[in-house]
Amino acid sequence: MEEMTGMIPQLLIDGLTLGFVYAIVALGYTMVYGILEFINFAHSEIFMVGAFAGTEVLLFMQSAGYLEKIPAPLALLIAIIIAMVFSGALGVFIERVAYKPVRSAPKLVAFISAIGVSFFLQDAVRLVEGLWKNAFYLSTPTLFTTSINITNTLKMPVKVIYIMIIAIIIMVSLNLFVNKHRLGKAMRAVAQDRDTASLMAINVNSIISLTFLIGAGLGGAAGTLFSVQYALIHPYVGFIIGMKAFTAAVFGGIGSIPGAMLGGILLGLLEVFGAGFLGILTNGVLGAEYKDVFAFAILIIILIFKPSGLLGKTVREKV
Amino acid sequence: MNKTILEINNVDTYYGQIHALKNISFEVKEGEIVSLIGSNGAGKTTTLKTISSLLKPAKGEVILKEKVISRIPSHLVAEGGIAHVPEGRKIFPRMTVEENLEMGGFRFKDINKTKKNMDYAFELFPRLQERRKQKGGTLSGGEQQMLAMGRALMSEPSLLLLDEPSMGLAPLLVELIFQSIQKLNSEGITILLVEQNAHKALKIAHRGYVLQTGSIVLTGTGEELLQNNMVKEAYLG
Repeated sequence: MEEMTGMIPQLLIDGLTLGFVYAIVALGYTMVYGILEFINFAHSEIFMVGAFAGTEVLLFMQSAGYLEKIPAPLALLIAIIIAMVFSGALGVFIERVAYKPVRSAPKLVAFISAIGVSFFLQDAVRLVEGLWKNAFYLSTPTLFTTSINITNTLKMPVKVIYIMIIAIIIMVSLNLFVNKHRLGKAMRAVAQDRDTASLMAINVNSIISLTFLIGAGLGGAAGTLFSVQYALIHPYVGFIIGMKAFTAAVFGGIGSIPGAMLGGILLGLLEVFGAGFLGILTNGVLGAEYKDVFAFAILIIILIFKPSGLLGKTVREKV
Repeated sequence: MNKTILEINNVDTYYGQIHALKNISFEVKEGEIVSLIGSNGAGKTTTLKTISSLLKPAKGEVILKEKVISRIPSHLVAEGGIAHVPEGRKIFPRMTVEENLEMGGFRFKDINKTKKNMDYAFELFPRLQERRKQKGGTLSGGEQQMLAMGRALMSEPSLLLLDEPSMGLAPLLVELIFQSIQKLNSEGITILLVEQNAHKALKIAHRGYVLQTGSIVLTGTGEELLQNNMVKEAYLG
């Protein structure tokens, strides 16, 4: 038991870091679902492209010698901003060419279209990186090496602190935007009733594009944070993260922005605590490799009792 | 004679497979209240949806102040000065009363203008002010109707389309809604009113049209239609 309580602070730090990444990716799923009632399964690949864009920026800064000259947080910020712009533009483009033409068709059609986009992006990145670097795995340059000693046994890497700060800034600004800005409110209006929103002189197509811009931009930011935290990326890195972030979005209540944040953070914590405690709790029968089983079992149990998710709205029958 | 603000010329509209409007023509003049009456399924809502471009006519055209608007997207129609209060109010349920009103004034980026128009809506319907922080979905039917009308006014429309504003309301509230329609009209807003409550709708109308299975079968002043035998039999019971 003592062994377990001693682990808690460290697990909390790891769980929150992972949870923040899930949360930011989950936002992309939930925002698009909220507005189009459609799961953008290509979002995991937008995350991956964002990870590559951010990492390539860092690699460029490293090879050009800037990385030693400018402060590491600034380098990270530049990489994130470029990754956000790149993924955001990609998201808008994907919506135009792959989703908008099939918007009035049954939702399954857009779903298939999204799967196609996923494969395309995976192979496109693999091809480009293969031709360019002769390898499609990228190692992320090390930005932060120091740790802060909180207690004798508990260390908090500076990297993690920056990841958390950036994640929190992103989530707070998104909340402010959606609740206070005129365009954010228009986004919510379109999500609640598209036709009526258009009667308010709101250009629904522009708002949908804006939603993809922001959702995909967040995916790009999360990709860069992920790359900095885990130091290795490849074209298939989006799949598992995407699956988990999507689950987190459903867990929190699909369509709900605070729900996606809460769901992501909880899933990260569950997973990390599962990995830390399973072995001890089961006397070594189940090891850390069962962390996903543990996390998902809890999710399923919660969804059985609350199918609309933690902060989800009860679905009204549309007439 | 007043200028024509809205003109519907030989419009045919399909609602899915249903031929909902058959060669409809009518006009609304500046400063008028025009009532469109008819039974369920006669095409009243379809007519309003065609005007605000939620439905595209298969044939014919809708002209607002000498500009053809029947083939432009509905947000541009709204920007052109038409505010449409849809059937069933269509309040944004998870937005507050204030936010709903703000959305109505989306075409204005100027916060002061939005504030001024919101004060006007609150003056017209003081109940909305009491409920300003409440979510739209939690309002009663009457309050939702007030909100829907207040929201439409936020865009400073030159033409207001009202779809069944009295539907499902208690008599006292029906009275209040019809009074506010007349008040808005006296302040210079042109109104096209769709109603099942034919008696009240014709009573406040300058002119009216009777729709039957997608065609206009009768027209006249409100008074003339109220006295008309066919109208009496079919709609005034």
